[in-house]
Amino acid sequence: MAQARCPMIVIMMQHCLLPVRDTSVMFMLLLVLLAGAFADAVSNSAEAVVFNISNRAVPRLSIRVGSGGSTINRVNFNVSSTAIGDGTPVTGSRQIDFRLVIRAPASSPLTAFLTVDSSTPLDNGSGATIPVSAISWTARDGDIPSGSYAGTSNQLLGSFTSSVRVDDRHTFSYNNQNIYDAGTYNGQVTYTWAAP
Amino acid sequence: MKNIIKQAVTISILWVCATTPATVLAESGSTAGTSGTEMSTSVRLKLRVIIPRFLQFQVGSAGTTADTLTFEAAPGGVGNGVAITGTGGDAAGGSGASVELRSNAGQVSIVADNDGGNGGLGSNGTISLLEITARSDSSDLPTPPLTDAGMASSKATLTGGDVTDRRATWSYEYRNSRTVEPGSYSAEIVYTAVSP
Repeated sequence: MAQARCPMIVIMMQHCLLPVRDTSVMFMLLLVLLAGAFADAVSNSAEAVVFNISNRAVPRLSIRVGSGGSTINRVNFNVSSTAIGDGTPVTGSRQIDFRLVIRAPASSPLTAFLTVDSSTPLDNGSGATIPVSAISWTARDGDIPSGSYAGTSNQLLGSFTSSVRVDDRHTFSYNNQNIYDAGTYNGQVTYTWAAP
Repeated sequence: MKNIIKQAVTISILWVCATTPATVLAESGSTAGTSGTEMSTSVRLKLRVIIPRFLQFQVGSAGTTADTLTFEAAPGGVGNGVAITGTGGDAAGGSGASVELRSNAGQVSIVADNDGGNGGLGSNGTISLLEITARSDSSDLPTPPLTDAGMASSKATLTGGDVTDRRATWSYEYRNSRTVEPGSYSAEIVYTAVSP
């Protein structure tokens, strides 16, 4: 005697704030499972299957600065030879987009802090340096407020409580207040997005 | 069919794990954890400031017009050895020139030359340029001596590295040590700042 029992699929989703990627995975799994269930039902050979896929809103942080991916974006400041050190600010070559996400269960909210390390000055490879504190930024939205680099290792830029996504765009500027040796000065800052 | 489902689930789980690193150091990063544990992720942004070589030098009034210093002896004092101050300059009560030197191109020398090497003031160098005393109020920006042969030089003191940022007032006197025929005796002094 053939028995056909309908597969039972249980997907437990505890939190509604799902990134697109997670939702896509869920959907793919659901299709695979439904296809399997349909095939089994037709052949009358399936047994009861219980899938328990739990998404319990694992606490999660993500940050993107610039275009994303593995490429580190760079902002260039080209100072005119007729205006070196005259105090006329020099606008950066590009704007930088910021996206911060913090996710956690509503029952256990988290607060995350955005800090930046700008303690290492820019250098021209010949011993001359420019402090990163000569560079500031203007925020389009103010969610990550306008300011300037402090030249320190742990400058607090803002804090946000879960669950939230923060988007902003910064326009950078070099203050051009001093005369420095000729050269190309390179450096980088590191943004840290952390929930203690 | 069960094996196919298991494989699909396994591949999906591996894919999720592979794209969810605990800590990354790139332009975009994310991290996940459990409540009560610290989470942190960092991204970097490169900065570049390009400073070209430059040299700016100004003696007297700004612009393209050369200041004229005039020394006029009183009828009863010609050649009496009493120095005469000038008029027409932009500093030192009209008997001098304000000087500004800015550069980031290394040690700067200043060369003084007279007009055509005529040997002094007047069409035939009637009055030697040694009759004109030039002084600077700053040892960091000395004035080159005026000579009939020309091409005497002085060096500005570097501010730091390859940078020079100096200001001074150069003042001039006519020594009035010779009795000469009445008339106007002129010369044009050309100062040239030279960097390596």
